[in-house]
Amino acid sequence: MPLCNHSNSGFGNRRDFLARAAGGFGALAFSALHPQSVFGAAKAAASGKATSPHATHYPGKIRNIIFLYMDGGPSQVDTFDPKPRLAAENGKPFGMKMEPTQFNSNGATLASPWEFKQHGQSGIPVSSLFPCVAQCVDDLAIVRSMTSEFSEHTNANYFLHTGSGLQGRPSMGAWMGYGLGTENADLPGFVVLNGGLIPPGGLDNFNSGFLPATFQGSIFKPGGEPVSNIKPTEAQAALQLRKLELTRKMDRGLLARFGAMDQLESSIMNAELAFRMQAAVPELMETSGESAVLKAMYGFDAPMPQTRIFAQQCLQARRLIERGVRFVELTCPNAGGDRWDQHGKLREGHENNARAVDQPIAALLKDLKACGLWESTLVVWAGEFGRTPFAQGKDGRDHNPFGFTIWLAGGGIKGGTIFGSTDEYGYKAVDKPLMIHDLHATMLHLLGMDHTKLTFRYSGRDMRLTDVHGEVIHDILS
Amino acid sequence: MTTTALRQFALSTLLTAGLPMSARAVSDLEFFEQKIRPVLAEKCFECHSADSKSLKGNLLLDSREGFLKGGDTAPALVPGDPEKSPFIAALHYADPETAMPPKKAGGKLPENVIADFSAWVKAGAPWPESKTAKKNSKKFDLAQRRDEHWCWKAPAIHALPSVQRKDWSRTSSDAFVLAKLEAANLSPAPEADRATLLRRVTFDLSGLPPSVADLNAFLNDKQPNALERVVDRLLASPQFGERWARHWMDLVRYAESRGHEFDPPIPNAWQYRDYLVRAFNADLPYNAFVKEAIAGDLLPARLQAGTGANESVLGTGFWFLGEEVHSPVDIRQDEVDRLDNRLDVMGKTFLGVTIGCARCHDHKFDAISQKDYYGMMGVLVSSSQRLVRFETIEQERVAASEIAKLSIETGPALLKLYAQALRPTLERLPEALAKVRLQSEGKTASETFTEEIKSPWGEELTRAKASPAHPLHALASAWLAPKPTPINAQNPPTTAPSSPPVIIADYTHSNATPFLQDGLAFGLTPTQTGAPLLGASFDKPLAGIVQQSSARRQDAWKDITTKGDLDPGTLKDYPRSGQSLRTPEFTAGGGSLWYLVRGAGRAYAVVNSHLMIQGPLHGKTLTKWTDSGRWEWVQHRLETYQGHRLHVELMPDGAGDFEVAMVVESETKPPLPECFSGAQEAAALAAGGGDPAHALQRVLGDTLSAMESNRLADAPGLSGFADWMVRSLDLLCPPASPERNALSANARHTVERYQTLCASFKRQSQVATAMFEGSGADEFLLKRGSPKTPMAPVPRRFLEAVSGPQALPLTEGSGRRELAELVASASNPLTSRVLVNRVWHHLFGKGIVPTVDNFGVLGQAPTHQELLDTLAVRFSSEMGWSLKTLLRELVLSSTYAMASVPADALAEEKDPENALLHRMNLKRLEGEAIRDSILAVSGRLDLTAGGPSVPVFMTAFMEGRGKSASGPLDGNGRRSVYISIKRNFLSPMMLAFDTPIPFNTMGRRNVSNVPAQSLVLMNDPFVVQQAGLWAAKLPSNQPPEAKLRSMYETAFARTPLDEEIRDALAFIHDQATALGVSTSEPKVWTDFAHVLFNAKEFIHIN
Repeated sequence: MPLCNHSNSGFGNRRDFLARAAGGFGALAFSALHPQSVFGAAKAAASGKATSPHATHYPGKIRNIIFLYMDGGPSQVDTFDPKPRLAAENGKPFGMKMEPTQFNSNGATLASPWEFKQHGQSGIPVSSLFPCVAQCVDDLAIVRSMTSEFSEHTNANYFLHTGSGLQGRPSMGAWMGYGLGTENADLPGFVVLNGGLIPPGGLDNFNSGFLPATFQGSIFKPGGEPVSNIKPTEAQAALQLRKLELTRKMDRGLLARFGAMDQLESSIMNAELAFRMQAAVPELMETSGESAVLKAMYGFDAPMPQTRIFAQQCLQARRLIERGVRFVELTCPNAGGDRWDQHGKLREGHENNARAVDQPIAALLKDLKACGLWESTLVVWAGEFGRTPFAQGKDGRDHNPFGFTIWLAGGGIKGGTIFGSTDEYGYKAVDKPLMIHDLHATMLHLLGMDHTKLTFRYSGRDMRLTDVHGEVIHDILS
Repeated sequence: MTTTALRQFALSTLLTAGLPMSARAVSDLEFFEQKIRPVLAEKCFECHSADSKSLKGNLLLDSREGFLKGGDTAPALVPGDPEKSPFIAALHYADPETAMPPKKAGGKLPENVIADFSAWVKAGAPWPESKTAKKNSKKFDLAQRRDEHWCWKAPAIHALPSVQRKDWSRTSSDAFVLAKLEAANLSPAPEADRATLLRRVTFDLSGLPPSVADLNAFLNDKQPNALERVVDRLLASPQFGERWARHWMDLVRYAESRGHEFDPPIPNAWQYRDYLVRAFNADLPYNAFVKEAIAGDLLPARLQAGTGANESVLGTGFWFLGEEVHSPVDIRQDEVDRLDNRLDVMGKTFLGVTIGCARCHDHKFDAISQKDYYGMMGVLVSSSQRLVRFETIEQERVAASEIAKLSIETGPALLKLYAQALRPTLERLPEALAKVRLQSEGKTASETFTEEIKSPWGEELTRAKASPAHPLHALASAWLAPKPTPINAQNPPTTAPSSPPVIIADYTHSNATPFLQDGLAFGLTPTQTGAPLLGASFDKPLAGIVQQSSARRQDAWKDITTKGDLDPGTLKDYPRSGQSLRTPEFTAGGGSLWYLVRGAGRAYAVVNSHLMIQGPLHGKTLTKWTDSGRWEWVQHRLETYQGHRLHVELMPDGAGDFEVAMVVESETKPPLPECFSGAQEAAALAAGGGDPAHALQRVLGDTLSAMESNRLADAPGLSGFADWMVRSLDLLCPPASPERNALSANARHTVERYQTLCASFKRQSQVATAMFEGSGADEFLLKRGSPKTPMAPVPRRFLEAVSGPQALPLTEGSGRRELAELVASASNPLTSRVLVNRVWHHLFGKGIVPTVDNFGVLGQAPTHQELLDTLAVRFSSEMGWSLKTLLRELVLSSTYAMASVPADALAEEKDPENALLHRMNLKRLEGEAIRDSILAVSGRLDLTAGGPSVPVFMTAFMEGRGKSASGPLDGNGRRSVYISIKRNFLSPMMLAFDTPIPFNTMGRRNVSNVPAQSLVLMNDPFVVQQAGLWAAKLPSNQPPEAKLRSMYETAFARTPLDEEIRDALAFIHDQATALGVSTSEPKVWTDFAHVLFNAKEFIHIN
């Protein structure tokens, strides 16, 4: 089993740091600087909120979130929401009124090509698409009654991530960072581990919107240079260090001439952080210290290259939260067949997508337990919507925002639960329908935040991640 | 209720709700307000409140009394006992008869909400009688809010306050600032040194650092007005407009793509950016600028000097710089969202108020009602997007008007000339027809039909026989039969349709339908039956005669072309620009649309102003048809859009004739009216009976008489013969005949004038995204902002708090022109204040109203309201809305000249936010200015102005659908304002330095501190590359100290201190040693240049 070293951060205060800094800036090696006080200062950030850890509204059950974003919209009736009626009426005209769909080429009722079996003590049925996750089903709270307001990817992606269908609102990870601050001064608080696919709507899904830029999601790519401009361009570290030391002297001179202005001080401090990140990020991405057994469990040796990519992402997700990064989102690798978006060739596309993520996800769940991170980490698995129980054309499924499945696991979650239900075709949520806002409210709640109180004044309004909606889903909480 | 009871209530509800104890901060009152009242309001009040349209069951649920009194049956609840409360039973859906809320209100409430209600009843159903409750129930009182908040009151000029330091103020603004400082017992900071001042003003006005030459010139200029001359130079420099255009681009969420899944381009968005640069450089008065933004297409055109292009229409591009969604499933919701963004941007940008907050309900805090919102939205709803031929449209307008005039002036004479030339042919007619008859004599019917008769007349009659639309069709059919037969009046009456068609547009009568079009291709009015069509050839002075009144694409516009990008997606193939005929707005009734047209064309049904047609969902809004050679009804199936608002744009497809007579909606194909079917011509021929040849002779004779007296329009069917004769000139009046020669000679002057007019406008025009005026439509008030719950339409108007509740005085059109006047009016209390405040914000680092986009109740109050008001009034009166005049005064003030270091340390304690301006604020340069500065000092800056944007450099981190090819790393050295802004591929460097994401107005950028900023400056290849360029251009023979002195001056506009020189020399020495090279090696200086880029001084102005 791996070394699960929780990074210890002691938190000093910024004034102490400045006092020391002013006394002997040059003498302090960059890496020796105290980590906390660096990430932007209170008054300088437009929000008036610093990124250091804040008190929450009430004690949170968890400290971290790993969001497994299933880009494209996996089919609920082929994964976690079995509907025998679809098999019974396969090929027949669909038995309910159809809403307009994205492509409006609606076909007949389409049975799931996969077999469902009950698993675990809870006996929750899972389709054969997810043989590994099925082994963990007793840890999952399966929400079968999620809905979205949009049946088009970009709107729905923005909605899932920001609570609004239009571009420009802060992503959930940015909100959590804004509400909680960060625990690791060497890394950003919101990291997106990009598997290769960028969801429709682009990187704005992970942006900070009107929140200060500090909170935006940092995109980490698998392999190569994981973070933009993280690699020094100098041939040797000493060459860069000397440049930075001269910069430091100049900046100290500036402070002496202008007085100790917050804005300048924090700008100087984030240069320190940048410098430290140059070391912290490669260290994070370097997984050679992890055991071969563990890596095999994640799928580092899997036959499918996309599985190997997602395995890396899952392992890095664990390493990130270990290091105090609050919100880690994973996007899918490109498994061919256009994300989870199977307008045609459902069987082939969903199989490839599931194969890429199934084993790594199961391994992540097990590893979190083994590392003792389970209780402090929430894992969410969700797409932006589900798919229609009737066919698009012959062998595809169109977008369906009216009822779909997501699941949650980890700290504060009542495992082995099913919440809500769709109708007998799996088309629309009928029992306890939920909105994305409810998911957001629940995530914030577990972190110790009241979603109605986490606000940011913008454009004349106290803006919220949940807008004017949202109810915590108490029934799935332990 | 007692305090104890309340506490118990809180406890019990929280236990019920299963919340952790720590959440117990909520009081009972809050519990009611958070959990109970919102649900009542959302689910019950529609039918059970004093405001309900029709009260159901006589039950009021908007007060505790209402609950206790109950409705028709019994009290709705028993305080303390949920089990005995019918209301709770109803929530549980215990009895289907009384189950509430009903399906239409969303059906049964979630269990946890019902539990909240039970807990509430159990606790005695407390209903706060406190102020909060009163406030919530209090009616929205617009007048009161307007009277209570400063921003709605007209600004006035205030007398200069008296100050102790008489020698400090240079401008009137200074006195206002100083008075506040003195009142707080603060001294203004001393004046900044000259180099600092030069650097500050150069960045503020041009966005670039001063050159070393500028610095030396200024330092050596001992004249008292040295600074004034610097300011005048900067205001006159082309870089001024680039700098201030970028500020404006933040307000109008400028981008060059529409975002969304495929990030399609906004065609020619850069034309708007260049418009801004020119407008700021030309110091276009701000009120005119505002009017052009809102209604530049409807104002008398402001022409570009030299080119004659219509400049003002470009201002309307800003409306379309937002997102567009392709294939939205709910096309109406999508429209409402788009219009909401436009309205919101407009409100914040020009008025500094959040109109968007009144979308779902009256504004929570400001004097803005929901009616205001929808009254203004109506102004936008009928205006849509087009690609305007702005370069040539004014020339085209003149040409169209002159051509119309020429046609009226010379038409009757030309008709007469033609009649004279054609008259002799009448005598030859029976003989010519007899010859054809002889040729066909004895042939079988099939032979006559299939074998063309070889003579000009024979060919013409064969054609006529084959074409039912030909005016001689009836005659040819009778004449070319094996045995001549009498002429038949054709076209038996068709059966009338089951329901009469609804007429959407009718161009057969002038003024029946507003004549709306993009461009001038359809002339100034529909053409009239019998009107002569001018020809461009001396040989044929007329091109034809109008057979039927209709909207007709004019010949002189047949070969127009466009330059620039076209609409992306499927619309690309629709030649809309400059030749679209636009129907009025209407609501689809569920039938098909039918276009009565002649000639190949295309139609774009602009349903809910949807533009991004891609994929199958809305592909039906586009249709096209080929030329059948006759008038016909073309069907456009739009049944799925029943109930949606739309207009149709009809356009020619190719260079053939294109005419539109009517647009109707009908379930079945309407009958072809007689005058379009050829029946009138046949009837005219058949009317006199007898021999067909003589019938034709008679009819043509009548036609010529009608031409001579210019009375074609009054004689049904004769225009068809007239048109045929004019077009068949070679047949009827052979070339080189004396009559023909006379015709050409006499018409020569008219043809020459026509040719000149046709050549008077450029055929190819640049196009730009702009507003396309519609016929106007009021928007419905949407209950809770949802298009699913439309209420009564709201007459179009402006904000009631500014200009009263009355509707705009509209007779036609959208109302944008009228709106523009109101927004730009000097009596509007907002517009000039908002602009003056924006300028103040950019110069001083913080607005007098710090929330520059929100002057409302939730914005921050002005720190110096008298100053703001005085400046605002002076700006709109004495300064003539001139931005440059305002800027000049402010940057020459003593306030602006203050150092950023305070006079004494205590000042920072007394005024920590610098709200009173005891010193200048330190400003972090914007991303654009940082990049431009790097280019400027490295020598790479290319000051070329305008034109299509340089594609943004794509890093490995810029991915996604719609990605286009990467631009060069250094952006070709162009200023940042000229680098493309693609919504889904925003420059990481700009994002790191807080360039706003273009989705809404952002008048005050964030100034964040993120490590990504340092990473850019430390490691970005662009920065490293520019450091290298800078080092390479240094004179190699210069001694190190001279080199670094000049680099300091270039980077920071100051000379280095001794200590800095020492440190730098040591660095040069150590770095050279480490690299194993001499200190003159460019690599060493590259490293030093890189250090200067990373110094905080480089990216800050003090």
